[in-house]
Amino acid sequence: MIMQNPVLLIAVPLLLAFLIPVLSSFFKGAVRFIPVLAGGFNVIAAALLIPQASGSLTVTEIGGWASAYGISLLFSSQMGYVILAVNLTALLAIFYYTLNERDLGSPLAYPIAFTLALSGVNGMIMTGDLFNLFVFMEMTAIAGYIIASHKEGYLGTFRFVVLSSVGSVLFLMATAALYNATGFLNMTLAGKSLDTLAAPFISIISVLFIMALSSEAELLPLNGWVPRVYKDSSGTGSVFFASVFSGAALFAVIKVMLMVFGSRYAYVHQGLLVLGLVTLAAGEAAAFKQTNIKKMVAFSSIAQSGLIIAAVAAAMSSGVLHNGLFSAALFQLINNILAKALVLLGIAMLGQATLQEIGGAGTKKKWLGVLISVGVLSLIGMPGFAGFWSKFFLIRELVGSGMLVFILVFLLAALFEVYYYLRFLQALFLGKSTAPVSSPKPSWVTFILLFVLAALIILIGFAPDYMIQAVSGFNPGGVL
Amino acid sequence: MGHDWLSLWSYLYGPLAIFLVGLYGLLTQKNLIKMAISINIMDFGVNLFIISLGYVPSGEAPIYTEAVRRYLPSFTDPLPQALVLTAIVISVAVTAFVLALIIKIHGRYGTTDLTKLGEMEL
Repeated sequence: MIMQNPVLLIAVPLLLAFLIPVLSSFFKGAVRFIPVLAGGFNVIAAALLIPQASGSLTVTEIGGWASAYGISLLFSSQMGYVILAVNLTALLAIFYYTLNERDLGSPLAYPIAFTLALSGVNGMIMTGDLFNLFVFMEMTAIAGYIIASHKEGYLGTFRFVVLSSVGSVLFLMATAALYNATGFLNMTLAGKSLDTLAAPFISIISVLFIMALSSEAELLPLNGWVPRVYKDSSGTGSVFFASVFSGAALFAVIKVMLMVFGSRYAYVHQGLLVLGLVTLAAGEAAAFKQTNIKKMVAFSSIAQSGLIIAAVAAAMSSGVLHNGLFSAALFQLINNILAKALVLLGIAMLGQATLQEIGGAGTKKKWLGVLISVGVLSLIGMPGFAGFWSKFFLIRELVGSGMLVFILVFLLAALFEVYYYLRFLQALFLGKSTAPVSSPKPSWVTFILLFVLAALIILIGFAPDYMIQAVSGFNPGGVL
Repeated sequence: MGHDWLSLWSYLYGPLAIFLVGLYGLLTQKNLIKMAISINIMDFGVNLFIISLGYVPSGEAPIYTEAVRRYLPSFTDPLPQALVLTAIVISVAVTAFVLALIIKIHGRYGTTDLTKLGEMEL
């Protein structure tokens, strides 16, 4: 069956993106219709790929070249769920754009950028080749620059371009050095040849890779662009960065760490663990102080990236991949993608920017208030919602592994998170608006988008066992 | 690959020095255009670095011709060259975007000085 090849998730949106400018000169509706088509195709293709995939990684060699010489794509059922979550939120964001934000900025550039980004994020998640990852990262980043400047947020975009360029240069340097030392660009094969190399070389390479990927994955030290870009970008743009882009970039970091460095180098994982925890603490502390809602969500997004990466580093630190910790981290990643998309779409529909302005908006628009609350309660880990279970599994596994410092930072950060998100909910329902902002009445179709996300979050909240089973048992070994 | 690294030092440390010049420019310059140029210098350094990694002493250009079949000379590694070609194309695209962005910033704020822009926005 033709749907079996994961390369379609990359190739189809890529083809459709380049068809947009051609077709739109004959048929005006193409600009609206093609991005939705690409997003819809990817959701269906990802959903069809999952039941066919096995729990261990399968390799698809592109163009008939063996993995050692050519590009290969990796796919497993656990990755399938991450891909499905990323593509689903992307599709909902495209729908939202088509319904509400088409008159912002250039009507042609944005749909093309979004469709290209769709191709790029799937490539970032699936590719098994380091240089190919660089190309997909750059492709997604350039599309991201266009998406970030959608609402004339030029200064934030400039900061994003600079930090992301530094990241990509470092990535290129690390890739070339690794290729020179091992003779492979394939992640698995390069990883296997690492053992013959000196420890200082490995630590330098790992630092370069982590720094290079940190700009896209919203980790320290190169995440300075995040708050500004979230604040200035359109509703669609913020969903793209919070759910689609950062979800894919985080998985790319996890993949590079897992495939290249494996669980063999304790110092690499210790470094990654510290970086993740520092990002978590700094993100939550910065979010605590924000009065701009989108900036608050941006810092919360940074903190979540830190948490997920720290959890993955902890899962690798014992010498073998700790299944419980790793699946909890993947579960948390998926929950974060869904909940952030719901909250940011809801905030975009409200139209207000700061906590003062939003006062009492939830009582005027009751349904919207309730839907945003579902996302927020899932983010802070309220029992009954999806976010509770991933945090619960994470804590349980951490207690089992005896990682006391991690648990301490995690709980303190969660305390901050609960405080500022509850303050947001309080402003939403109980506050008094000082400067009322008139926002357009959203159509019922837009509500369906939020309903889909809220329903998924509640559904996972009721059946967490299904989800944790689905993402557990990830087996990175035995690929070739 | 076990070349004599010392004999290649100018190919390896030279590009790294160029990279550091670009990094220094990016960190110290306040003008947006100069920052864009600094990014390009960094790209340039890294591209040279990659090319020099693939260098084989007295190696021929990796093109398969009639003469090659007769004399079988040693080749330089073609893969880094292919990588650099891709990296150059990407860097051109990013540079074009950055310059367009700077024009937009100048049109909106009337300056390309980062300090002034920061004051205006805060």
